[in-house]
Amino acid sequence: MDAIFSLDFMLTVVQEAFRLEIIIFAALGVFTGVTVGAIPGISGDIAIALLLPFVYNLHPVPALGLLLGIYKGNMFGGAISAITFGVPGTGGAVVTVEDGYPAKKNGYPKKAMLTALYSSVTGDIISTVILVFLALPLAMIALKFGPREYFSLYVFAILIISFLLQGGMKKGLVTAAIGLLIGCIGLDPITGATRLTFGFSLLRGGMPLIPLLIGVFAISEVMTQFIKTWHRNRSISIKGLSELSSKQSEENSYDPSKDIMSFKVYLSTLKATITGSAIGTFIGALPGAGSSLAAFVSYGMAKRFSSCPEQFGKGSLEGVAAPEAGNSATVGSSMIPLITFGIPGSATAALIGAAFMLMGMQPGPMMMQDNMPIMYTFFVVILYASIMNWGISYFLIPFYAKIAMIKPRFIYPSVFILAILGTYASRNSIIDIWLLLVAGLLGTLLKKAKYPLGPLVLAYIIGPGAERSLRQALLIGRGEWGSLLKSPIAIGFYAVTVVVIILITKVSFKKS
Amino acid sequence: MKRFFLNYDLFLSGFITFIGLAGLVYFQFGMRPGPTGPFIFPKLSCFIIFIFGVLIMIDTLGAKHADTDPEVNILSVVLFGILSILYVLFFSRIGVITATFLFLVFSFSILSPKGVASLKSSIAYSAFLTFLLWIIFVKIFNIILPQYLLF
Amino acid sequence: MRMNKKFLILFNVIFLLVFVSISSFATQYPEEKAIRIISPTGAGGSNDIVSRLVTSSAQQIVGQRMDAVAMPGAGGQEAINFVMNESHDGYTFLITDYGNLVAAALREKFGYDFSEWKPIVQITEYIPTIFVKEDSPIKDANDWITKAKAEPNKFSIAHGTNLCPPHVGLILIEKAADIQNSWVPTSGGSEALAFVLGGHVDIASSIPTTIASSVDAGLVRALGLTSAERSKFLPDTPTFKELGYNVVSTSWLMIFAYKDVPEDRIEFMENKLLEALNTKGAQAMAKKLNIELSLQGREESQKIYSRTIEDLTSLFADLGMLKK
Repeated sequence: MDAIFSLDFMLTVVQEAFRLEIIIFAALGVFTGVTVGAIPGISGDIAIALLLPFVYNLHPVPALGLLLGIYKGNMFGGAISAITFGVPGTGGAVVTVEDGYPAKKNGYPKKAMLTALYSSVTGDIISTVILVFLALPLAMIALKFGPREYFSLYVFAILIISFLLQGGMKKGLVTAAIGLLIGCIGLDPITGATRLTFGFSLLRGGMPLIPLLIGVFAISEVMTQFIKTWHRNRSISIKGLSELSSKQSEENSYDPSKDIMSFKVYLSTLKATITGSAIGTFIGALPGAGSSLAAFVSYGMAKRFSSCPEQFGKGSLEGVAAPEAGNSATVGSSMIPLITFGIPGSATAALIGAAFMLMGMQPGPMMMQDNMPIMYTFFVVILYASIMNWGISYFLIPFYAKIAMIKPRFIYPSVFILAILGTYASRNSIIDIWLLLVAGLLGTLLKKAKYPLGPLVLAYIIGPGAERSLRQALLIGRGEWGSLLKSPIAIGFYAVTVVVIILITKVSFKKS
Repeated sequence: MKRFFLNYDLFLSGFITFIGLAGLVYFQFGMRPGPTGPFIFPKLSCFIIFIFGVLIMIDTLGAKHADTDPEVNILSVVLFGILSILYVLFFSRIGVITATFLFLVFSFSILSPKGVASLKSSIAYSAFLTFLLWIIFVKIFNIILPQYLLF
Repeated sequence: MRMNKKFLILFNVIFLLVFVSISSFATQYPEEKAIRIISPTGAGGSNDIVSRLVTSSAQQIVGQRMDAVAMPGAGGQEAINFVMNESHDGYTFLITDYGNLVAAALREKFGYDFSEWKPIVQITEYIPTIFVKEDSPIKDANDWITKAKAEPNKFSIAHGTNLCPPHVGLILIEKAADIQNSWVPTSGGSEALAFVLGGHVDIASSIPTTIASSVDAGLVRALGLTSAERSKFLPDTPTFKELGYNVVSTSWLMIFAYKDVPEDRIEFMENKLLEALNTKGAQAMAKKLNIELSLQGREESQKIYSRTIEDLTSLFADLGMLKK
């Protein structure tokens, strides 16, 4: 232990971490991650999986810098697509759409993106610091989460979100239940039997995430806006070009001078950022919980504790800050169970675990001990990669903000094409495109009647995990439902859920 | 009855309630009963859909105005849907890149206030965007797109 | 002059045609294009790691780029369908254990017969390993069996997905020892390990690769293996066979060619893969990755494959799990 904190050791670590080769690879990783995350349909996992063969030929630290850069950049990159096009670029950016896209429509996309960036980097740094200094204690807490505890967490998340999002509790619960039902398609997580596949073997693995995500959010929005733009411009062309300039200025009413980020704005979202960071760090350390869950719970809690909850869903910057801090905070903490016990905290962490193994480092309890210099160099690189994420994204944002304000005539067909091609790219399957269009139709029909789409996606993402946890808990408890309450952590989550629902119901009853 | 179909919210909640009920009936006759069987979650989902679908229908029946989003025009959505289906069907006839280019030209033109007069600029933008997409998807990410007549 | 120009053009065209056709005839296997090894599990999983070991060790010896491709969709069937539908020219192969290819197909109807798949080489074996938390009251395998006999369903045991190799190994142990435990399926070995470490289940079944580092760190104890001999990674752990239970159940990881791939190409791949995996470099890399190489050629792999189909068919028939 003394060796770690000796000056020589620390100097060696810092010298190694700031080698030019490593800086370049980390920067390249961040740039790739942000760009890939901003393209709907192409996730950072694809970029990481493609790079794995090359990783073997690189020295461990630059290779890991590259992969982590992609992971971090990708988390923020998803927000760009969410704000610009209303399409979550990653699963973790689903709830960013709720306020990010309205913010763009209200004329401040750059402020929204910068808010997303600052909160993303804040969450990332907090969770990385915790990874470096508190990995083992947090991992021990994470191990206390078994099936009962996970189930209570999932129930908490679904109910909170259903109650909190626009559209009301009943409609929220209905869309959540629809999401749960869609999540049941495919293999039963316990017995392996197929359900609801109707004979299609490609549905055996379930409804794929990308077509559902992009279909429900992007296609429904594109369909709506495409038609709206067509109607508006048709009326212009019928009335004559003399009306053109006034309509064009209406389309291009973006005023950059009103879209400026300031430290004051950052401070106004700080509470939401810290809420998201704390929740994201904790949830990221739970294997399998996921960045989407972190984002949703962060959003829900931030809304609950906000001084202006009525602004959420209408372009509130707090509504952008909280989920972005939440999903980015899972990056560092998802490494915790991987490094301490060899249990990857997320699918991306599993890929990074594979990279560790390919480089001869076995993830697990002996990892730190057997590879101390490399691991501490790695920690330093993770920390400065977060700063790089801030720097590189900061310079990319004005470019993306300009894209966000391109004329609707060009943007909506382009988003539609990107959605189609991005969906095809994820599995090289035409069936996915048809599923995308069906999901788009579903999203549009629900949107028309003001059913919130967020609970549908959240329930779909965590439904299989929730079902597995419930049935595992019942198997462990020999079929007794009472066994679900034989855990103080689970009781705690259920209690918090009931209290929050009562408080929310009280508030909305008072309003009506 | 006419009101039922005119009131979109009521119609949708009725449809959702029907799906919930149909699901409950379907899963009731499914295999493997018991709390750890594979149909616990589908049944639970359908139950929630049914119960809350009914509650929403009751709310809607009592409401003075339909609570729907006026921006979403269903007929127009159906037309756009047909356009999308044609676009995807053309993948296998003329190839993804060609179909994409034609779709973009068509979309950019009809969405322009100048209509057909904007064809030149639409073709130029479409060509550029299609080329950019080809670089990103085919060259950078090595995604193999279905290739047929042209490319 | 005109006649000369026409003759020149004609000559060039004929020359080009001949050149192109000679070039294509001159292409030898496997020079045409990259070879792909398709895995039905996700990137980062044990199959994927082995797949990458194979491709990085073998590509120089094979003389062509080799890519490890993970296709976990449709519960593993996407990868299998992909290899079936690609041209059977010896450039696309499947790497899998028996879970996706055999066990799943015994329970559900898929579009292939087992005889259509030809094993080329066996790379390694997964050995189902029973383990407990270090401070568990269960002292050893015999202690577990004695207590389980006295009180059926007393212990909860986590394993991977339903009927995966560690689960099948567990079923065979229970049959041989005549005991009953409460099975808790999980998403994979990592989750099973987490459940044991967290004290949520009493015992778990997984493979040495997943638990080796936890065993070394003294966090878990392995009770027994279902292999014929002890594992190099767990030299102190007895086999159930040593303990007197007639249980030998391991899951192979093999590379398969689909039917109609030319015999000479299969033979070429068999020779090159075995050569590559026997090199010092490959052995060293396997050691780093905690992979115990257990190489077998085509003939022996085919025998093992056929035996597995018979054994699993019989086991699933006993359990009432065969497809109707």
